[in-house]
Amino acid sequence: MKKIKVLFFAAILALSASVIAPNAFAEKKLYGMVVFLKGSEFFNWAYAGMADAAKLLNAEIETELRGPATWDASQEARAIEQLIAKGAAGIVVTAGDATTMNPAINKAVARGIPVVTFDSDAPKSNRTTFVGTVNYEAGKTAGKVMAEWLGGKGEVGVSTFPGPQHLVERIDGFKDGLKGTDVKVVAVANDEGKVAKAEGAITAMLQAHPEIDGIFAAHGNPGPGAVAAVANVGKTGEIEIMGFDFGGPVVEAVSKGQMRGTVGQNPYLMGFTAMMQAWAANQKTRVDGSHHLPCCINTGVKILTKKDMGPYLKPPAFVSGN
Amino acid sequence: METVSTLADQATVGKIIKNGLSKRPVQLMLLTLLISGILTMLTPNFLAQSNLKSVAMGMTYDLIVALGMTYVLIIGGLDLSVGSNIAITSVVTTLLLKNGVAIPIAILAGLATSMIVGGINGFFITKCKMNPFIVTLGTMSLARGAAMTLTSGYFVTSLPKGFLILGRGEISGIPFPVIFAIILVIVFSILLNRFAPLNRGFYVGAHPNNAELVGINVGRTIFTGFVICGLFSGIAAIFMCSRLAMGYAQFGLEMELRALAAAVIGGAGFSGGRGSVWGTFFGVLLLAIINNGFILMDASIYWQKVVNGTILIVAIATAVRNLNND
Repeated sequence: MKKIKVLFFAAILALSASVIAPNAFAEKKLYGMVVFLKGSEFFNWAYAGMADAAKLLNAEIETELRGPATWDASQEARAIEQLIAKGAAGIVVTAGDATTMNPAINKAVARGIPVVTFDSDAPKSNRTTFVGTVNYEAGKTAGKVMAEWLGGKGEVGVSTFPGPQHLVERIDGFKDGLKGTDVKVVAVANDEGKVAKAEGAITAMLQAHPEIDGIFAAHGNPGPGAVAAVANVGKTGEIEIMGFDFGGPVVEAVSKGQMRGTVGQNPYLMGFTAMMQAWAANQKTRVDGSHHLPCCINTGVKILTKKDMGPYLKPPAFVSGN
Repeated sequence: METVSTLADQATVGKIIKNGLSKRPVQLMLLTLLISGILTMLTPNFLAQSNLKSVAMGMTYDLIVALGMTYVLIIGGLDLSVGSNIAITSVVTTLLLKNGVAIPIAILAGLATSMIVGGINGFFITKCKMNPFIVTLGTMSLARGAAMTLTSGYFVTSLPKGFLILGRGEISGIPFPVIFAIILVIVFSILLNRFAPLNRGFYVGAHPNNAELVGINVGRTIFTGFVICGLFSGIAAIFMCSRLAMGYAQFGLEMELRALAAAVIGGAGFSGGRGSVWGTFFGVLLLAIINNGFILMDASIYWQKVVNGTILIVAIATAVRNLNND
């Protein structure tokens, strides 16, 4: 009788082990990406980079994209909480604003989950590291190239909108990039951040400053509006336009030669590097205490012109997540 | 003006006139002329043809949407989904075009989409007696989300050339959308004044219970109002896609705020029964000219935002004051 009981017990043990084991041992390590605008083209590039890095590192890594479809940092904070609850091994996040998500980020880090911010930082949180464009440097690069395009002499109008700190930094950098040349910024127009408003704002700016021979569209949206505005005042081909990022309409305008070029950030590299950093933070090294992640990694920019447009005509397909 | 309802009793008419709302468009016109005059003196560029053209073009989308918003306010409603409606309509239309659907069919499908969004608003507000604010806040999020999902956030580009004529074509230097918007203002103001099914919206908005008693189908009037508002957003979306040669899930952001501001500046209120097509027209024009002036004068973009916000608050405060007076 006792034997039977033992056997029975052993059978149950074996059975439960067989049920638990596949989950326990084959469980994939989850790395989540959290964005403030899920479905944005820019973040699709970033997530593609993250997924590729994960594939390269380990087949057992699973990635997941989370975040609201409308710009909302508080929902991002909730997405981080959910990832913590799901037992994520690492979190890669772009902060919808600089402070809202700090408690959620700190909670994850306190539980030993590395949190890598990318593109938009949360500098006052305990995040592990930041990967992204140093906007001042990006602007400076743009300024230097614009000065080259204008042959070292000319007047430039900028299209931007008030609010985001990164735009302020870009434009400061742009102005510094022009230093030492005879090119200067003579006007700043408010495009309200919108595709449909840029044309009117830039046309008005060109009216007020007929001497403008270069336009710097400081973010992703006003580029095509600048093209239309230049046409409105009958100066097509006379004004050099530099855009930002490589959204579809900007790629189209650069390909057609309507814009001279655009400042290409590298969202793919941001996602790729952020994944690598989050993973690295979880690895033991041979030497104790050797493992420090850098505070910030600059993924840099490149000024893309017509000849560079090929790969951008086919952006990565949308990858769904929860 | 069109605030005078054929169905309203003498007392209502008297009250409306007393409130001076019928004079609102005239006041706004004078204010617009005054500001234009100042701008002309300060900067010669204001009257340049290309500047006037860009002001007109820039205000066209806002104007068409604000007309729909005005009517919804007249019938006692509110529509926060207008901007998201533009997004979903733009995405549906351009995705169909990109997939080779004939231009007229794609446009009709887009307009149908916008009317469905309006219809959903109207249905829940009239049949389920839900608050317009809650319902349209819901569709605002739903339509934007659907547009995002359909496009994954990508711009929809490479549209057929024939489609672009709608937004980019001109007759003696005036872009098609501007011509359309002007005709729409004239026709809509006449219809709102003379055409009974539209005109009774004033009575429905001001006194829904009385309207029911005199045999007006209040539910149908409100439902139709939301469908019309949806359609106007759809029309704005088609022009936007055509002019900018793209569809985009981020089109029309904050459009509801600008449309509301313009309608309220133009004399509409949150209590229903008030509003004027010409008032809204001058409301939109005023905002457009002020913003244009800011750029022409090289004023700081930060101040521009402050001034726009102030105008919005003052306009809404006026509307709320009118509401409390009722």
